[in-house]
Amino acid sequence: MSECCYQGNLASYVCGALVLLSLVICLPVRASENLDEPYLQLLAASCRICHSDGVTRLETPSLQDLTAADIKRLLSAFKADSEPATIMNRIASALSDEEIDQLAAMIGR
Amino acid sequence: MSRTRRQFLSSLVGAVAASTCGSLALASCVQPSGRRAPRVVIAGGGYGGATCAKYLRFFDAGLNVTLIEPTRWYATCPFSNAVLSGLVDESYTRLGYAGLAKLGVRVIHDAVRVIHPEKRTVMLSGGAMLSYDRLVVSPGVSFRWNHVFSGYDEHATLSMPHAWNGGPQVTLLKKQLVAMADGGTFAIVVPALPFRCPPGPYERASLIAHYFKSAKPRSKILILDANEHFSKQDLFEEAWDTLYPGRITRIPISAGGLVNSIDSRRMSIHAEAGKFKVAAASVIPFQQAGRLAVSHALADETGWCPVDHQTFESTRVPGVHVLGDSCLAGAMPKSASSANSQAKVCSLAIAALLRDREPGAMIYHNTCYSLAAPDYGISITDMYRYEDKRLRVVQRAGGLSPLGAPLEYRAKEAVYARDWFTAINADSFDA
Repeated sequence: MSECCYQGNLASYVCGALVLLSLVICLPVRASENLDEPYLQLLAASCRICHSDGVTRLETPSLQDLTAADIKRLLSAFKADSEPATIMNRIASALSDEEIDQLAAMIGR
Repeated sequence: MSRTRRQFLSSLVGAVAASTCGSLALASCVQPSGRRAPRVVIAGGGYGGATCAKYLRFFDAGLNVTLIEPTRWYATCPFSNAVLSGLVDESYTRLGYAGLAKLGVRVIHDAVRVIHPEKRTVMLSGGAMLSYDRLVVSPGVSFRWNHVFSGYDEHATLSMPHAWNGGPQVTLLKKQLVAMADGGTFAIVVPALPFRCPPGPYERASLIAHYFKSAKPRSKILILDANEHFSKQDLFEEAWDTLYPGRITRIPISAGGLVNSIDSRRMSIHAEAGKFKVAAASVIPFQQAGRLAVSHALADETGWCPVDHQTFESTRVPGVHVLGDSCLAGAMPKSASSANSQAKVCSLAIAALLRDREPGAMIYHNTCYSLAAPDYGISITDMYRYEDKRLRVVQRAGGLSPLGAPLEYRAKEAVYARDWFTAINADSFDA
């Protein structure tokens, strides 16, 4: 919609604004894209190279102990480089926000 | 809570006998009446083959999965340099197949001798014939004897072990290192890329330098390299300057590092830079895809196997997938981690194809640690996506450990390196 639609015509301006507002109200907030379940399983499987369950490691945390909210917060912080890390910041930078959200929901406690 | 591995594995155990559908299997496991379960045969039980066997059952518990591997114990290449330098015992690098058998994988200790792609059968060395709907070939690398390094053949490996596939060669080289006199030179001969584990020769130099520091303080290490640059080069060189000043000399190809011939009886190595008499040596031969892949025309003129990156199906032989070190996987290095990741992608693709579904989006991952000393680790990691029909590295992500990091950082990565080994073994072999 070009700017000229509103020039010199308050009524059509208001009308246009109302149309826009109604669109904003009526349209659902755009849900994050739903990733395929097999893809998410594959993504989760990538984590297990370092975080496999059922074995004792020296320091690498087990994902079983983390909630979905923990995983989302940590991955987002690694991605933003605001959480100290050696390797996770380099890995999380490759993930989209949708991937972080949905991966966390899948593997979190 | 959504699907977790814990739930998945418990469902798998229940699914083993009856091949009924675990609640977590992605595909429908119910066999259409009268239809047998699709059969996947996997040749080779290294990181690629083992992971593929496990994840085929993970993604579709209704699949009939058979793993063919001659040895009962797999000797890992990761951490074999730690065995050489005495940091860990050889048993630390030995993995069995009991875990996979418990997940419902049929493990046969034999070798695939012949593949009949047109009949979709394989014949084993023991004479048995197996039918498959999909075949996965994951044979690692094979060595090119007398290629460039004239005089270096299988017999010469007894005097100058390559120690590049774990097991007896590693034990032999370790004995030779212990037996050599203080003051002698240990040489590492490096072939041109591509080869299995690109940072491996330099980790070997580092950990043997660590051993020499206390056990043979006057001994030196010489690297004769057919390459100009190498993996994690700046990080290794920083570590050598810090930990082992003056002990490691590397001659790159531009300075005459290319070796032409080896006289293993006289322990003599002829390179373009000159003739070197050494007390011990590890000669890593030029490499190509595993023998099974080469003998069945899965490899092209490069010696490696071209594959579709979404499925790892051979572009040369339909119905046969090639994984791990043998395949051409774009920018992914030939590592245990790459093989593990490729196997997951391949098993997801096969699970789809066998249920008449199109394989979808794919993501791949490589993480590789090297130890420059027991408490000094460095890493490289990368993520890859399937885009425009190719596997492509994700930009602005991944990469190397930082240069100039404090020793505490290196120590932390050394701990994570050990954890990585524990975790990938559990993930790949359920060991």
